[in-house]
Amino acid sequence: MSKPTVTAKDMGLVTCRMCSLVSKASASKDQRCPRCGSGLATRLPRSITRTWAFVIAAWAFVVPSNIYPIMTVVYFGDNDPDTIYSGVISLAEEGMMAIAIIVFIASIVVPVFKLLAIMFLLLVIQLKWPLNQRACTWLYRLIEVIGIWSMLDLFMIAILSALVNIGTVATVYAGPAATAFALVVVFTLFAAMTFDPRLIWDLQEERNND
Amino acid sequence: MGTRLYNQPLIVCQDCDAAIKRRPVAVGQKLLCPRCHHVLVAPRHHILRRGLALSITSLALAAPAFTLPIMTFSMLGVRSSDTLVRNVLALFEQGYFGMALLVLFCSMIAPVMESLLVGLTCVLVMSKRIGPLLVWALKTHSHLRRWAMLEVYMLGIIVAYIKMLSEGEMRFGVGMYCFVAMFFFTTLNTLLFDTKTIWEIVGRRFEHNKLHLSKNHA
Repeated sequence: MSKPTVTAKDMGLVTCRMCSLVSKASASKDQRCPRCGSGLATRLPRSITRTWAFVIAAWAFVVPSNIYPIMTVVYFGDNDPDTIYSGVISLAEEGMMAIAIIVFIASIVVPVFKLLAIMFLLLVIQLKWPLNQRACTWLYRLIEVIGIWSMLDLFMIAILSALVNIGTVATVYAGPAATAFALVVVFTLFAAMTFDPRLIWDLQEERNND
Repeated sequence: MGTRLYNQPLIVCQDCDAAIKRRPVAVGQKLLCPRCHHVLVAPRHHILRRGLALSITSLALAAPAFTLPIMTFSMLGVRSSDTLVRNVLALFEQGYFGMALLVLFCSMIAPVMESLLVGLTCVLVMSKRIGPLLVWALKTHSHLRRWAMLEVYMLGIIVAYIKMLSEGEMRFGVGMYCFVAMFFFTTLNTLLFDTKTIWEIVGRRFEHNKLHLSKNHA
């Protein structure tokens, strides 16, 4: 185990999430950063509850976003609605393997992995699993970085619905799953924002105190 | 006060709350958190000049990148093209308002606001106007930054292009070159703009003002 590190919390200090200024923690609930005026808190308020709320909300939309068609391509009057999954399969069948993999990762792997990873980190904190904190922090950073890439499918739908717009010959429409998927992406982004990674490290101090 | 307010003796890690003694960090070097390896400080050269130059370049490219055709698709002699603005409008016309707003925000509003705010920050610091407007610019920039997703949009364009190659004739338009350039300069600006150094400047000025005030009172 590495040598115990002194934390700001131990010293009765509080850091501003916005401008990194270190202030003395006051007892008042509404403490503001003297430099930038942002609200100060030793840990993000109700981080675990809020993160769970966003995770559950995101899961609720994962199902409709995968059941309903996300995009419909009309060729010569022929409707061909695609769900996220069937879109990936048809890309692969048309021989566009690289693109199929990119879309599969961005639209299916990233959101599901992200939601599972956040749930895992929440459980690590709540059930006090003795895991390597540095590895958990890396997982948190990975989640923060990959999150925006799920927007790929939505941007593609936007691009294609303007680009492929030649009447009955070929037209692309967005499907109802697009809205559901947009909500999944937004809720997972919010979940990552409300999660406080410092809670992972608080476990170490609790263990050292025992 | 147990701790000095500005010019602080401690740096606290945002990711793990470790309190570390502040030490001088040379420009181009990084100070990492010994516990979780989060980058605590990474000062850079010429933040203001480069920030302003990159912001102006990105903003100049925004109008053509948003309104000129990104690519053109032709099939049986009929053609249609897309622009960033038209992509958002297409979603609106289909009744997908929420999604249209999300795409509008992430592909156009957030990147443009980011460049505007970085540019504004640089101008304010250069002209020593360190006050509430600068604080507002820095805070808004920090909130908006994560919603600017030009890199994802870039990949979206490439994927859409390859996907449609087999269906008809595809051609990139002028808008594409402007968008690539805008994407490049905006991303560079995001990566190289060091807000921590600017916050230091804000803190030093506030401290200075406070000392002045207390002297006047005495």
